[in-house]
Amino acid sequence: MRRVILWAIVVGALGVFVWTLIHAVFYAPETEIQVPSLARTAPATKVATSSLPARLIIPSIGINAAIQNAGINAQGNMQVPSNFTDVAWYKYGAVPGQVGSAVIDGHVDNGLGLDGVFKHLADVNVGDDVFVQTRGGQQLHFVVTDIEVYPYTQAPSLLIFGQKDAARLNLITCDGTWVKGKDTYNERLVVFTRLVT
Amino acid sequence: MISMTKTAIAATALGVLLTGGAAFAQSTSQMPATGYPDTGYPANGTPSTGAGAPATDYGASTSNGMTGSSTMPGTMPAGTGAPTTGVPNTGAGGNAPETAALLAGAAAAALVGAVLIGRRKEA
Repeated sequence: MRRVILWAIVVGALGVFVWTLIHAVFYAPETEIQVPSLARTAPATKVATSSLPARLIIPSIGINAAIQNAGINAQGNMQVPSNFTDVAWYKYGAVPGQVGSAVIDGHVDNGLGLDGVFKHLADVNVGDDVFVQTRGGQQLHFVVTDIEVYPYTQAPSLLIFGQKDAARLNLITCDGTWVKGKDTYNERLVVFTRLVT
Repeated sequence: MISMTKTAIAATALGVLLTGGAAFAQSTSQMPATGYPDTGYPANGTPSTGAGAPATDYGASTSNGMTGSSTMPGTMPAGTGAPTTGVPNTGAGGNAPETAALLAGAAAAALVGAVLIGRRKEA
């Protein structure tokens, strides 16, 4: 009987260890809610699959990351990538390269505080190049036009997601200090870019 | 031998307690009064629609046929295609100490348990 209990403890503890490690470092998906009205009218439904974004490249800070698709999570916010090395494109917004505000987000760190894909996003400067490779192999060239930090409760969603005057690509990640009770950082860093070619 | 076994069992129990304590601390730190890990961020100062807004809420939304829209009152202007409440939560590192404690506790419990099993086999 004791041996069974000991085995149960060992297996249980190993399970906790592995589950925690995987979710802290490798894989932390968010639950997506389905929004049929947005899905029907999303720009992504009107373009060829080859035009959808595949990779984000920012040479000045050494980023070359795969792009996932992101929808909306249960809190009504843009979803984040399911891991800490990829970035995610907001699939209900504009497609990169088309007129409108395409938005890509990425983690600043993982569950153990190690660097996420956008850890050094704050190091970009106005004028830096940002490239998006489409699934069809086309390379879109954007240039950084502005870098802003907002309190997370006051991030201007319309400015980030809703501008339609040009082909824009906006990059977003967490910044500031950790808010324990809210389980999030208290600021958001947004890098605004605009299509060049 | 008996006292060693008792000591090892006590150590295992301590590891389990550590693991459980860290897990409890982590879960409560992620659980605000609303019962959701994150209550969402108001857009442009408007009230948050609240956590876990059901998909059926979006049934009332209308589309302008351009970039997608959500016209839920008081959340986002129509035609933006923006999330209903706002920006993503792109950080996870703030709970690193609790996560590290959880990993350490679980590893300790597994290790001590394995040692105990080994000793019993030898005996």
